[in-house]
Amino acid sequence: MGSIVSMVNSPGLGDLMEASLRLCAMARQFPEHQVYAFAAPKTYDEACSLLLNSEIDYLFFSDRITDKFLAWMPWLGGGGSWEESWGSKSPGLVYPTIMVPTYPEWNENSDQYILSKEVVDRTFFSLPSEIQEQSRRKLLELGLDESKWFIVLHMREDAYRSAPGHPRSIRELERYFDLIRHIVEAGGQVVRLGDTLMKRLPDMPGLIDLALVPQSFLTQAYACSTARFLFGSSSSPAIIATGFNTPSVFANALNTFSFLSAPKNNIIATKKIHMPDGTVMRDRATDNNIYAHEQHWYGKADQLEELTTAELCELADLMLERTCEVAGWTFRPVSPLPVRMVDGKVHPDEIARRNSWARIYFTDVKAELLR
Amino acid sequence: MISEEMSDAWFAAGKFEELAECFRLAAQKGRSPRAAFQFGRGLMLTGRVDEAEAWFRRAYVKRPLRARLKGGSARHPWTAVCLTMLGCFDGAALGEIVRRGAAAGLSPQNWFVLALLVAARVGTTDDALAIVRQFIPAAALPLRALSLVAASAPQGSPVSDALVEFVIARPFDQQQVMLLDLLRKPYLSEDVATLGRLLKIADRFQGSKIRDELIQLGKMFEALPSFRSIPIIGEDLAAVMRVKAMRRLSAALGLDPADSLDEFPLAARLIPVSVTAREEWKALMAAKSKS
Repeated sequence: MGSIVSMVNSPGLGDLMEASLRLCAMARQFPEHQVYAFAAPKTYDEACSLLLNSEIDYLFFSDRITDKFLAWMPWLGGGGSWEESWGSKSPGLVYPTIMVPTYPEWNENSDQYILSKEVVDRTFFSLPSEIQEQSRRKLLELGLDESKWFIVLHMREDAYRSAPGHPRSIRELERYFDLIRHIVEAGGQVVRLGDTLMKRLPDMPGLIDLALVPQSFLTQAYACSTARFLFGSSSSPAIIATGFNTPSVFANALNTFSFLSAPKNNIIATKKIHMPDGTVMRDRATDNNIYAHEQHWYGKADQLEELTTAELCELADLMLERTCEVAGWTFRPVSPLPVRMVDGKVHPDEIARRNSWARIYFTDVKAELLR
Repeated sequence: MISEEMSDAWFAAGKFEELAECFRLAAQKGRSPRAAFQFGRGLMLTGRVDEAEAWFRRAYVKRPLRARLKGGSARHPWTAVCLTMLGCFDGAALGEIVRRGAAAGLSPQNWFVLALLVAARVGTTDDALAIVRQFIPAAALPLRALSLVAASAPQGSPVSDALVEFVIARPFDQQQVMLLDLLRKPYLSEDVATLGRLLKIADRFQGSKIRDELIQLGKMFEALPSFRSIPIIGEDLAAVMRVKAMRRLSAALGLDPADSLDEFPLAARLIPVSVTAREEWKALMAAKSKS
């Protein structure tokens, strides 16, 4: 039995989960290997997020004082600093952030593709069964009706991580209130995801506010895995939904982050970007455009126009249409392994699936409907 | 014989053990009832309530004849103080005890001992704290007294707020020194709850590097219970986090990390996560314990 030894560390929760998802996608290709993940989670949520990766066999936690101890480990080679040992002297160690696929059939070869192609219509994340049961009970206790479908809603609020005016944040929360009512009127329920520092929403029938429940990360992940779809933005829940293959809307999105992590049926609706020449850029036009990157808007976030309530409801309708087969809570089992042929090559159907992925933009879908 | 002024000076310097020991001989020889009272007070300061009661009683029974006469306590003010202390053992009401204390014009040392007695025998920690806040100027409370207050109550109680007040009442340049000193004892005894509570005080300091480090450490200690609650990996993760926080704190306090923990076996953990790994690990541990 071989081993995959990987370092899963990142500055933020979303990046960490993305690294974990890459590792998960990669490890699935080598079912006979044991997976060791080296992690140093800084927060409760980061630590919990590692449990979504069902491919990890062993987690290795350590304080940095044990650098020397780590250096003695057989796979790290001898001596040197942590980074030195891991980077240059230990070619066997996998960094999920720079992992690349090795399939010759792939028509492109970017370090991002292990995620964007591999996750197309595939479920990789899975919660341990005991956590699933606990989370299910918690949701029922909070009043979620098991006989009805629900969506998960995440609005990356302004001032998250003490950064007010962040370009990826959403300032017009009130615009989402009618969206919540719209979903409930359509026969569904809404579970809000987030953290305890978020603003309290007004009480609304059919709304369960998990964000304000302390230490509810795993329950939120479970909700995301069983929801009809995620109504999210450019933030961590997008990765959770991608890992669980939960269809998603990325509303008020910005950055390539959410685009690359979008499974096949997701809809991307960017913020409306006011260009210097007076035009407004959004959705497909933001592809490979420097103006669509958050770095360009630091300190100028007020120039980014957020979607209106009508647009948010319209997006929800499009997603309801795309997920019309869902009647209640959805269980999405881990997808079977890729089908390989006797010569070891990946089956052409599998290649076709991966390459079938294309970004779907809100304004394109609307235009198509009008035609 | 040590004067009351000298005794108060020792109290202000936080020399509680010395206050207990230096009166022992004189008290045990039985010649001085005042020494017996002072010895009892020292015992209170070092946490020996039952012994203190016996010495307070002995001192009061043997009080000078003049002190028994009407107005005699003016000549021997310690007798009024002793009577106030004894009230705590004899079931006097809190209001009555405080009234007697105020009438006797207690010194900060005596008020603090009375507060300890109230916490131990009469009321609650909150009652004792109310006495400290009302009758002792914050700047007159020695560090040792603050340590006792810090160790006396659970997080979120009024004690935590009071501690902040006491430390912040000091001049700016003493605040950090005082907090670092306060942290030493719980650090050495690995009292993580008290550490977490004390580190919160740094929130109120003016900006400095050590302030930021202490706040960060406070968050680490505060997060330990939530880490521990994570299924499957929580216990191991919290153990590593605890070692990490203690090591960082040791640097801030200028202490050797080995003083509080044998960290090497704790600082790195391999944690089985998947069902297969957990079974494998269990079998491995069983084999190890057999051998």
